[in-house]
Amino acid sequence: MTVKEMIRKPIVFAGLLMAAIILIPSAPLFAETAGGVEYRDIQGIGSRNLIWLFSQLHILFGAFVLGVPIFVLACELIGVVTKEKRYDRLAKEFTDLIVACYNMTATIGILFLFALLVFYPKLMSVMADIFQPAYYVYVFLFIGETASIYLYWSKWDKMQDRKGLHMFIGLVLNIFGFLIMCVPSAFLAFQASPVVLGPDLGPWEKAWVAMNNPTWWPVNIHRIVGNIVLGGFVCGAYAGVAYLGATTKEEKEHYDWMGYTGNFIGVFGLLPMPFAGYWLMREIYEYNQQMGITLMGGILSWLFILQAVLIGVLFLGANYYFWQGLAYRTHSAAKYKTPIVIMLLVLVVSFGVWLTPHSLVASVSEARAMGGSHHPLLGVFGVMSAKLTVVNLMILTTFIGFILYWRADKVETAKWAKASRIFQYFLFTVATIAIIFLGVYGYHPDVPASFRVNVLSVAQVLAVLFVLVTVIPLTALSLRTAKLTREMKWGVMPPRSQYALLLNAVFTVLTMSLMGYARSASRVHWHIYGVLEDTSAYGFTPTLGHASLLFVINTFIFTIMVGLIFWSVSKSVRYQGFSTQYFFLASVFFWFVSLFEPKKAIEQKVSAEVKNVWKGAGVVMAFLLAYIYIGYSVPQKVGLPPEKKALDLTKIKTKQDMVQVGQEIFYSKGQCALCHSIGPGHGRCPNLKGVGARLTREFIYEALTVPDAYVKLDFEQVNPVSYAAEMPIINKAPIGLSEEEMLTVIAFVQSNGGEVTVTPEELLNLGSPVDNTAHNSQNDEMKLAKDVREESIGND
Amino acid sequence: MRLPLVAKAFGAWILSYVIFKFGMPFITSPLPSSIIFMYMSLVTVAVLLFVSVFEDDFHSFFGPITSFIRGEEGDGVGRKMSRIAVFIIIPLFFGFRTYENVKPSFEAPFPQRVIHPAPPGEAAGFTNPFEGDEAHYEEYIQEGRKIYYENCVFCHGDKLDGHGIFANALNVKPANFADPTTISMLMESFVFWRVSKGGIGLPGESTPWDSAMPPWELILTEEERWKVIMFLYEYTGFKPRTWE
Repeated sequence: MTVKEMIRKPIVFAGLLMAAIILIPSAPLFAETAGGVEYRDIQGIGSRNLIWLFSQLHILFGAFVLGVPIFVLACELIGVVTKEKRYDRLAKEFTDLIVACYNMTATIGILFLFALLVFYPKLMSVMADIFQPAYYVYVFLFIGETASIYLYWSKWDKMQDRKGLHMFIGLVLNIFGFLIMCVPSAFLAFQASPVVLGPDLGPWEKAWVAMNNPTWWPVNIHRIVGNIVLGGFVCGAYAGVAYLGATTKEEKEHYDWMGYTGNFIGVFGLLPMPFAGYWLMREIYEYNQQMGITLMGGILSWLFILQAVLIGVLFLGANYYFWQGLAYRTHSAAKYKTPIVIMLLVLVVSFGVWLTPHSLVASVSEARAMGGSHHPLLGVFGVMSAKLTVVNLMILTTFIGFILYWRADKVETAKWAKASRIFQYFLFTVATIAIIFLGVYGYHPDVPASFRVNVLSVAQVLAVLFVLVTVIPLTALSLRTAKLTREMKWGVMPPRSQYALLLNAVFTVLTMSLMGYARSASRVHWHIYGVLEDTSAYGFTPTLGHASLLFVINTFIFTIMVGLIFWSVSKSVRYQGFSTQYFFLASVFFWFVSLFEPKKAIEQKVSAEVKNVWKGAGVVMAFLLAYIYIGYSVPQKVGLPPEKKALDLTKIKTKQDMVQVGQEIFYSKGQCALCHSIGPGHGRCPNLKGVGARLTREFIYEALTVPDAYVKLDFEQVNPVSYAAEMPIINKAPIGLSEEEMLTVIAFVQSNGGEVTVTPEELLNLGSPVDNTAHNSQNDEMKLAKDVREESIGND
Repeated sequence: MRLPLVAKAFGAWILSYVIFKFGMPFITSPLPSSIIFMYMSLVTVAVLLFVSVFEDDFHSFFGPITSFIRGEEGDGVGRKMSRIAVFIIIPLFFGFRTYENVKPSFEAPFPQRVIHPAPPGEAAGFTNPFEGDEAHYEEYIQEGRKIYYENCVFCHGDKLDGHGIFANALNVKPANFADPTTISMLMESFVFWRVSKGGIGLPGESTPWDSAMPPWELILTEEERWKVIMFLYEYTGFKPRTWE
């Protein structure tokens, strides 16, 4: 065997690629870096990009490891209930993959953690201070997950006659999986929506309070549903590749069916996804309107157009696969032509509306012709009402496609079947009309935003859910007694349907990369929103083109790695004792073994099957490249953190100046507006409108420095309740306003409906060195206020 | 006569293009090319999806195309010639498009800015000091009207529709307040912030500040700005968006 022949073996390429993927990005970790204690950076890739890659890859593998067991367990259960062997086979096939991917998740997780410790020591020490006890919990969960995953996997065959116990282990595995996801979710949710941690909290209490923050549960739910989608679509893609490469009829039938099952699970996971996302978004708005605006209307709004592209492709891809199922697997394909055209039209028109941005990218002359940056007709498609309307229509259409597929080749025999069908048509019609009506009504100028968000949008969602929960049991009931005209044909799907499966998996990964970024970018230049600022060189929001490039790189690396793992596993399971724990050595091992194998002629002719697999890869690559292009064709803006202004006492001459400065501090350094609102809007704390008339300055001062001196309750309800957020001590870390700054804030608060009694002179006096150590600062302030009052009386 | 699927598909594609490009200006304003590109990509995807769902469609669509490109036994001279013509026209077309794109032009580059920047936190706290003062409402409106016609009318126009006498000299055109998707979609506090900061004072993400509006906080007092905003809503009959 010549060297040339050896090198041409795909296994060598695979091994080298795997080594490169793991080693090259982690190489900078070992490089010597210059820099302070707070941050370190590396030349070339940049610390943020590296963290970005590691975290996203870790989360993607994690999502796979958590999502697949859910559907494996479901498959096992279906297998037990229906007594069909193929479900059990499918479930076991995937358990092999979970174990391999579990190792990968841990490996990348460690790299991610090391990278964080190296590059972001400041953030990590703050986080460790808060979440230390959670780390112990995490370790415990990790051990539980590892034990249950290995038990579940290794005892699969031995426990065939004790299925109940085996499924119980699977359930335990899923519970551990869910909890293990919740813990780090809490870290990042805390970064986005931190809560105030009182000074006298014990470590466990502190960690719990920090974990139980406003966006924690929405993120958990959103993630777990997303994981199911990923699990389903990756199963579909695996089956797709296997189908394309299959040569025998049995294999084709098995993988065709597996692809169908995966796609089915993916789609059903996808249906509640917009609702979960909507809930998360609502919680973000509730937590901080500013963050909501940054995401939906500000610099990140174009990100949601990029997301819309992905969601649209997912919907089209999943539906396309359903339609091909109708066209190839059933025996009455021709009668579905018209419904498919209608569904395609509805989906494409909805997709068009879903994609249309509010302000369009236009050249100057085009904008002039259009009469501004908003198109008079298309402008209305750019807002939330339209988006929610069409996404509900898309869900409904997908559901109709599924129902058609479900009923195909079956004749209902029940007497009430006809009536039930008419009722279902009626339901679909009413739901469609209702969704469109509610959407259009949302534009009515008299409809306030909160009504649109809380009532109209929820009603649309409920309409869709109502259709789902009514039609599914009705159809299931009527099909129970239905006659099967002919058995469905499996294994006859054309290659392009499998490309759709591949594309769905890859686009799910891409969507997850994008959403991960959206969540982290919503913090803008903060590590912990409003608490710990990102003062590194990367404390800014990169352009969306750059972000899209990273999404695609992430997706690409993940896809390649998963592909290699699948491939390695499929090779290594043939050998007993070749544990998948060392899967990434498999390719190198095989290469080594192959050196001693007798020389074989290199196959010149590529079979049609292999050709199709490569074609599929080509389709996926083309879509990924197109996505980078789209990412760079939306407005490219870098979001910089606002300039910091130091308090300049010499500029303050009048009370009005003080109020002005106080207002700035109120909204910036003081972070008061994170919870308090003034006037309209509901905060998580007392509304400060007109508060100047009610409170004395001493009370305001006390409220700032000794916030728990009084119990404060929300008396706007019938039964007073405590407020959602706790007031931090303003003159202590993390906010740490100085006495001068607090005086200006008091002036600003007083100016809300009251008379400003703080004077610029006080401020200047404070500016001169005062020995604060001897006195309690609060008494100092009181005394000072008293002196000033007396002074002003004296002047009169 | 029944049209072959290829002809139908191309027909639908071209018809959509004609509607987007030439039909839209008749109904409403013309579409910018970015949107036409986006919609046409979608139409292309839709056509490809449609012709590839069913096996018979797939063959009747791609069959003629592949046989035309590959050439079949017994192709006449006309077919050969048209194949050669297609293979000459396609690269020429793309070459021409590339030339069009790279040749120097006097067209200003695409403004890549965020039209609705997220206002800084304090913008959410701006409240109209005159709100609820029904007794003097008419008075404030009249003062606002005066301020509008002394300051804003030159760009935003007599009818608040963005057609002031300076409007034709400005890119981007001044906002049209009579359009139901402008001020009626925004909260009062946002409008106040936008008026106060003008084009120049917008945050970095909105640069280059295409808006020529001056920062009115340097010219008008806070009360004057609120009065003029009240006038805008009064005149157009819209109400500001409210949270509750």
